Amino acid sequence: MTDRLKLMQGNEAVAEAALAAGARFFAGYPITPSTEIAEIMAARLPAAGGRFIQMEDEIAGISAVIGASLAGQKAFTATSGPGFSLMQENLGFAAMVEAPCVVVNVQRLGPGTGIPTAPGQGDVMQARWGTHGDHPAVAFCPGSVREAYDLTIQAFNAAERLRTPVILLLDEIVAHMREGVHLPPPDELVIIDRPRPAGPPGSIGAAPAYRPGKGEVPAIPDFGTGYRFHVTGLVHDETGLPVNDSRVADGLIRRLHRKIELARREITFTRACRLEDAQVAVIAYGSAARSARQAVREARERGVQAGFLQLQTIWPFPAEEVANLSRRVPQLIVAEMNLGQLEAEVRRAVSGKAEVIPLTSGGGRLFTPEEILGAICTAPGGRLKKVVHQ
Amino acid sequence: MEVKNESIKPVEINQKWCKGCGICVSFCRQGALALNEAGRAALAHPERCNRCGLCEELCPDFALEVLARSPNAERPADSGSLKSGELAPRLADRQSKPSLGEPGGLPKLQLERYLRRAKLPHLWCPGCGNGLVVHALLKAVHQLSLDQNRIVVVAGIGCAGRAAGYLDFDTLHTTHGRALAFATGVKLARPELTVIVLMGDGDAAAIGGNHLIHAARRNIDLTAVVFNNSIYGMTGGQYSPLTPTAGKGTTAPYGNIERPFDLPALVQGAGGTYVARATTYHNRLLTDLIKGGLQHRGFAFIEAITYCPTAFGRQNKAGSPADALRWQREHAMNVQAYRRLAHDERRDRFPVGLLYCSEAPEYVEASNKLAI
Repeated sequence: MTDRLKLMQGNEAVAEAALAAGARFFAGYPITPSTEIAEIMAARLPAAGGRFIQMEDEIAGISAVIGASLAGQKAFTATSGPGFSLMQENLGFAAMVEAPCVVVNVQRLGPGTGIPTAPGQGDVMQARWGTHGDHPAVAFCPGSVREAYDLTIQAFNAAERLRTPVILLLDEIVAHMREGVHLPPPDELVIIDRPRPAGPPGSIGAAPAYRPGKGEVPAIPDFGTGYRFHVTGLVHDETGLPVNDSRVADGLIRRLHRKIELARREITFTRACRLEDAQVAVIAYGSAARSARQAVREARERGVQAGFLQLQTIWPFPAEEVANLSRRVPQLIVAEMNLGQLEAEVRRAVSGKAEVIPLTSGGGRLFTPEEILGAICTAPGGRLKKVVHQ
Repeated sequence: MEVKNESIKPVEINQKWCKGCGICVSFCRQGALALNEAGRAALAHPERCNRCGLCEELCPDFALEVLARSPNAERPADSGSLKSGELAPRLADRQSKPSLGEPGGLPKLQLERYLRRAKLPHLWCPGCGNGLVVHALLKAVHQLSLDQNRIVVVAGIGCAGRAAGYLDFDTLHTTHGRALAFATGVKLARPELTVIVLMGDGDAAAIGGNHLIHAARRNIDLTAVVFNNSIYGMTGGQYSPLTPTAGKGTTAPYGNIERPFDLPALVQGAGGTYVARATTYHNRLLTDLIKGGLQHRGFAFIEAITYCPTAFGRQNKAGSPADALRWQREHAMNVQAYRRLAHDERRDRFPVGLLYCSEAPEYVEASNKLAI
């Protein structure tokens, strides 16, 4: 077995994983701190039989990605907050026309131009609600370089399988951090391709382009394969052609949500540790999860019954997992580099069954383990109750 | 060859698709057509019809078919196309058949091959020129014998953008202004496909202006047709970047104080290698220019001057749809003749034809060379 240990940056891991997942199209616009992804794709895609194009802005970037996706390519783009804002309209379009694609948003400190080189987690709610209309969202949030690799694979798989845009939310720390990672051998990767028609044009297998199939996901053909169908961001029926019927609209919007809900378990990724006897638990995601893990380790060394739940999937929100946690752990600290965007979701899931303690930051720097340890030790459940000899 | 068969009706009229705009009635020199009680076109005097085919050519609703057309029948001077030689020689050189196109539209069975019949009649207003642009596009596709399964039509948002839904190709109705950016992705992903981009003037020149100049600069192999009706029609008549100075819009109630773009000059300046303009009246010229664009390797841009009788016409008192076609006939000028005019003679004229054509590296081909 070849040793796949590599020293790698988070952005590099995203680019490598995208190639491993089968991505052969990248269109984007340079923006700190995501630029390395575009640079690597520009260097790597031609030899891999793919296409790289630097577009005139981020709107054009996601437009070209959706166009390439409808023509059958696994396609993605990478950006940061300001560019992510520009992409919002077409993100909703991709959800509406069910074009699989991945949008990487390396979060920096905002709002406005903020600090382009400093980390933030302020785009959590933009990832959920940034585009207009009542739409579903899928977003993953890695906390390490290896997680960036794994969740990029999962992002492409979810996008393809569910025919929906998937957002990969890094933060500047994870994106620019270098660590040694063991990459999985390519033959161990599970790569999923989108559902396509079961028969040639005109055959029984060739259902109308937008007729829901397995898991409520339609098997939409690729452009140029003879099916001659219509794609529109207008409300459309099973054929893809626009209609003004409010019942059709209601059915379509509900199905777009339902297909994500039906796959919820398969796309919900969390990591838990030391929760078995925890009196206080830290919920965190992205780079904050790294500090939280260390803080919990130190708390345990001091004999505090602390635990940790990392949310790798943030949308759809892992409400069930958090609700289960709240039945066992009386105090939950939510540590995030914003002023409480996911905290409100935690409160909703917990529904009063546990105390929710926010640990917030305006961003711009990493949480130190000491800060989180401090929060653990001042929480009622974090006070030393007994000395545990390990 | 002239075909005479008096036993068949000279003109077939699809009453379901006809919107009664009166263009055919107004342009029929023989007085064969009239509007019936329902306000639809009807063949009032079949014996007068000389099967010249002009009514079919100028019907924006795909509703008229002249059977057994007589290509030599007398037609108004200058109808449908400019006189021979209006295409710049370079275009003629490029085409194996530098014809001015068939007279009339496409025979119905052929036209319907390219239409999603269930979606017709279209949603455009009576007399809207968009149907004429679409008709010219379909004639171009048909005359070039392009494979229907290997054409992708990408459209923007607005009245023009709705064209995609009526066309039986792979069709993509995108977001406002972004059609060229989507089309760039389609073309790069599947270079073997013919990608046609349909946009309105606000779509292409205002919200999508950035994509327009960059597609031209890249010289990517797309054929872009802009339906220029000088107004935002679907939203009810706001001024666009192509509204003439002093023209009225609902957001320019005192007359437009801005200057309009010269779109062909813009695209040429940005690096486009095929730049053309025609009007909906000069339908055969428009067809030929779209054909030339489809055959061109690189970014081909065709501005189709069209008329919005509802949102532009009413506010600007520009007359009936037939009046607007006559205006186009009288103000459009063969580009070579136009260039010979002194500057002050050009004032109310505009050039049509192939305005600019050059060779430059095409983007997809350049991209192909990167793959070793």
